Amino acid sequence: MTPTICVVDDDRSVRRALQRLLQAAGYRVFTFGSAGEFMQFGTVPRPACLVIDVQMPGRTGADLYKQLCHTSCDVPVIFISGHADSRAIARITREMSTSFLSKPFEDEALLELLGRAVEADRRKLADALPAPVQSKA
Amino acid sequence: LVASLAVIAIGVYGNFHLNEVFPGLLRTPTVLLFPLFFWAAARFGVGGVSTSLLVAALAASISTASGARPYVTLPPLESLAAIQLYLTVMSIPLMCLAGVLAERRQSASDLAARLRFEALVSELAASFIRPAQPSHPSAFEAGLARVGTFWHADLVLLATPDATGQLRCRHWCRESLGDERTALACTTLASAVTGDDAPDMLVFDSLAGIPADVRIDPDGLAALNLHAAVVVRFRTRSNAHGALTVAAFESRAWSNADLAHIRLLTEVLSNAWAREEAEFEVQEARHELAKAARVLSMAALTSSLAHEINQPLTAILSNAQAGARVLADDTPALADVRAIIADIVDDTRRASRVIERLRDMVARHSGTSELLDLNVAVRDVAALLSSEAIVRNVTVTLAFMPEPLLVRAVRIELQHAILNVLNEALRIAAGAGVSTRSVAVRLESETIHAHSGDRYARIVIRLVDESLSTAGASLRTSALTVRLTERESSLAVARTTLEAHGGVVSAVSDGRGRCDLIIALPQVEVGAAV
Repeated sequence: MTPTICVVDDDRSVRRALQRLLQAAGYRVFTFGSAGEFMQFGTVPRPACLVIDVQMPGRTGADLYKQLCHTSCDVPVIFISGHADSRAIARITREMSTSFLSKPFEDEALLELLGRAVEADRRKLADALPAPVQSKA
Repeated sequence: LVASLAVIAIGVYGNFHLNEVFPGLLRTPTVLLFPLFFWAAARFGVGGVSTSLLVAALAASISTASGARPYVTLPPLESLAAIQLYLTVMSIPLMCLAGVLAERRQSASDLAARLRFEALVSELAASFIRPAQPSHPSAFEAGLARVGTFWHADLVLLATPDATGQLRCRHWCRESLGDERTALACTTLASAVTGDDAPDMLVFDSLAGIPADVRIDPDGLAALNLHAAVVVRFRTRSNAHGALTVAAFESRAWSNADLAHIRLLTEVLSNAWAREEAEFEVQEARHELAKAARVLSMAALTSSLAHEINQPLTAILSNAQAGARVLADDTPALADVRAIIADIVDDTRRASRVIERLRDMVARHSGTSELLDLNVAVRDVAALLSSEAIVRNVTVTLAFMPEPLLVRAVRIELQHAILNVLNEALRIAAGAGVSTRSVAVRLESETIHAHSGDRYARIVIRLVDESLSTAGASLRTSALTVRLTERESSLAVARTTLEAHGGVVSAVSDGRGRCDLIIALPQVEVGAAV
């Protein structure tokens, strides 16, 4: 099954570019222009990973992450940001046990993080499933 | 007059009798001389009266000597004595009248000269009101021309010391001497009064009249065709010496009034020079201030500008890498590639615009005032701060005026001032509660004086913070007011810049938890701008 990735970024150009890149890499992609838009969109299948911009008008990426944690959503998150002080943001995202990429970033860097996050999410979901019943032949 | 007098006097004192021609009349009356005496007094003054009386006395004497006399009942000598007595008595009021009239004429002449001089001083003062403006580049030269014309001089020189103490010369010349000869005349004459132990004034009516103790070469002046001059020393703001020279190509006399007036004009010109120096220093200080404002605003914008440029760069890079992946397919979707390339072009232009805006804000510009639409200035600054607002997570709303809101200002300086004030508003708003991080910017026009119709173009930057109490808002307003006066704070630099443009910036609390930062600049009416 194709993993689903959600991209939340207020910049339309960045959303379109990331959607193309991730689709070309074989992912199913949904994009959102704000944290509110993402939270309101209820029909999304459970994503395998979220790519969230840190700085957005209104609720920030960090606000969205806190809200997701509050609702017990344990989807892996990759933060991205074009802020000059990316080291400070990287420190904060480390504290939140999330990954971080400073804009602009290489496709390999994003895809590697995504690959790891999707794999970790797949394992977590597999572990959460009840163990298959062994048939006594 | 003399001829008329002689004829009538001979008639009065001689043998011609009117009653012989016109029977019934008196013998030729002496009263016929009166109009001529009054004419002499009114027209020719004391000299005229004296001459008239002398002519009358001579005519009487000659008539008496030839046997005719006006007072026929008296012996000849007594008749002559009576005539002399008569003329003496007549001369007293006539002399007084001539004196009064001459005095009046002199007063009128003095007054006219004084008025002409005052008109000259007024014109000079008016031409130096804004000597440093590019529209009046030759205010000094025009002033020197007025001085030259007033004294019918041939050459007027204003020597002023530059930063190194060397004399710089501005001049007016009736007939061009040539740059080299003019510079030589300037330094030769000015050096005579600006050197050590030199007199503060040099006056000569001719080359022979140059004082012996003055170190000046008469032959050199003769070679320059200068034969008379007044050179007056003045002191500049930097305590150096300059000199004003009024010179003529012919020998001529200088009256005490001339010298006093030239001294006074030297004061006027030296004051104008001092004002120009001060204006230059103020302009330099303004340039430094503008530079400081640019540094401050650029420092404040570093993070937001990085954010703004990183967005299109991210899109360009991701699109290019996505395009490479699409093309790597066995059957690439060319429509997707075309869309990707179109987006890359758009994002490249977007990045270019950001860099262009940055270059505009950082580059050193000329300090020329121009008519600006405040709507446009605020829109440009808000665009530059859009990333800053995102970084600070503050919502900015803009409400423009439907019509142009014209002000006169140096564009780059005004933009930096607005940027610093708006950035300060964003900084404060970022500290507010999560639900109320907003700044509302509104442009408006406000009448200052109902009578004159003078208006202010205003930018009202409202900080909305519902978590603040009324007292808290007042406290914030007070803190902002203090920051407006703090040395080297971005707000204080913005305030100084705006004040240099005739504007003001202030912090105002509305008493309901809202604090406004208000920028106000004198508005230029659309009609007046054309």
